[in-house]
Amino acid sequence: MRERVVASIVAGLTILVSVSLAGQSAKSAAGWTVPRMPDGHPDMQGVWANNNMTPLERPKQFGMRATMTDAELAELKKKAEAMMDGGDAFFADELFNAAIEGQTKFSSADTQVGNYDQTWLSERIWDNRTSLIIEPPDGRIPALVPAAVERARAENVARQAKGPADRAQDLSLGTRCLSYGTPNIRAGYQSYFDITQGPGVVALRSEMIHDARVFPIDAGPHVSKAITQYHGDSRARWEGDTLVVETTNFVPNAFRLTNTAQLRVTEKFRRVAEDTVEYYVTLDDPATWSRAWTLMIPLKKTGEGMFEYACHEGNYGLDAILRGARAQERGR
Amino acid sequence: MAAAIAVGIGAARAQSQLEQRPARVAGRPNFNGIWQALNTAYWNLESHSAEALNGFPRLGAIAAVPAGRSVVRGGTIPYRPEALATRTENRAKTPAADPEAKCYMLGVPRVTYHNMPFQIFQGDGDLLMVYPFAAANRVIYMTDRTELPVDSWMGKSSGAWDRDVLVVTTRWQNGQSWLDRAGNHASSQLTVTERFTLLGPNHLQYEATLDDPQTYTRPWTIEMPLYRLIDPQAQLLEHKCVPFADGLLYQDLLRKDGKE
Repeated sequence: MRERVVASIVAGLTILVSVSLAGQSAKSAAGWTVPRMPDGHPDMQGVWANNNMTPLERPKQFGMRATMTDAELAELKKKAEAMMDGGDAFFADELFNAAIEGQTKFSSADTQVGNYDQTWLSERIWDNRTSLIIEPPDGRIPALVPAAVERARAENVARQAKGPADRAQDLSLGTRCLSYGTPNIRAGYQSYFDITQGPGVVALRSEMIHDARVFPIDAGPHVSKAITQYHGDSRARWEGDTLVVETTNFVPNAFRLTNTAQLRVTEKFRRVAEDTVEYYVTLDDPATWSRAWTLMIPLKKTGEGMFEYACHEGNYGLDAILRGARAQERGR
Repeated sequence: MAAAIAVGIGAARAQSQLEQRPARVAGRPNFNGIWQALNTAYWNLESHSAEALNGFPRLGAIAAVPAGRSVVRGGTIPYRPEALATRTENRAKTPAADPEAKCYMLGVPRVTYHNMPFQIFQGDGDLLMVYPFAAANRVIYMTDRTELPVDSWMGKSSGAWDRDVLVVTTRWQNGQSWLDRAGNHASSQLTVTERFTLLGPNHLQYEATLDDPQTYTRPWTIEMPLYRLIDPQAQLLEHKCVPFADGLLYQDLLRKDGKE
């Protein structure tokens, strides 16, 4: 009985606090309030898509401008749409950057073998932001520290000393169906996320290689540094209506760009509208970048389910790459 | 006096677990948490003696199967004759032919009684179950009843409440998983009906009925308790096993040393 009374008082206080914070949110449309779970926290459940067309890094011509004018956006959109001719598929920033560079026909970087075509792609959404990166203010990934430059150089030298496909381990984490990077920020292809919330825990499931990341809330310290994971190890907390997730213990190179085990990722999820969760990602790896950097992706609610992407089970590509390399070595 | 303090502390800890773990969530029994089967079903669903795994002498006693009793109601799986022959073939090719060895997703119900814990997430909508091995997971769809257009490794799971029992029906698996490491198998016609019944905050009774007329002469059921990990620091740890399967999958395709 006492537990129930305490619980109901706590719930009542939580609702009072949540209502006053929601009232302060300048981003909500008039009349919209965030739906809530039984425990009073915002309900962010459902399937959310990152199909945003905004590039990760700001093209240099925009300088320090975080947004384009309507006219600039319209012109860029027109150039990009002229290249949506069913030809080579474009992923993430590729089409945006091709349009910026004034290309009129999109070609995949790999011209030797067949490629996906555009029927494989999700529809992309435009807004007038010039980059996903909001910190630093130039919208670009900060410079690498000297140690990282040296690491990249050494890896390149090591790679030249080998054939392109001596072993499966020589190929990328994506090609091996291990990971396309954590956090997954590539737009436009299997860039769907499913959020499930239970008491004291949130799960973020991505369609890309069916990953499920678990975010325990108020759960104490991270695991020992002796444990590294492709997902890292996450600890979450609510700050008002924002879910904050800190992730450490990454395997080196677990993010899509080079990183070390020192990488610390801070993600923030905030539902700002019926159809939008603002997703902030701060990446801090003092052994890689000269400063931390932050990007924001507006995740959009979809009415769709996610499909299984059994990447490894269907990885005929890797088998073929290895067979091809062996055949080349035999001179056939 | 000391005894009273000890009881007080015990009660305080139990109370903090209670505050964290409501008995019900959104009006339903609370299945949230990390659960694990504690048996040898992942080796063999039927009764089996302890024995060596052939072909791994350098692992010594580590490469051995522990003894275990059947989790099959009635003891043995009612195979059709040709399906029983397939099991015999599977056993001849084990472990290399076992999809688990290739780090393929284990399918339903094998994910449940694998030797790693799994986690259930339950709010007020669809449930989610997350399994470390090969980073598998499945949504238990509580209202969406649309069919899967194409078979998949984990199929599609539909959930419903039968009073306080969670009943999950899984169809459209592709028939390429096994049921255990002993070559037990099913086809893509398999329908699995699972029943999850809470026995208390830390135990649940798990039953799974397998119905596959192509493989079995009748539906059959496995049953076992599942145990909740009560250590407050318990968490799932990743088991992305693709690198561990590289040697098995690609050993014939490695560049041989000394060749150009």
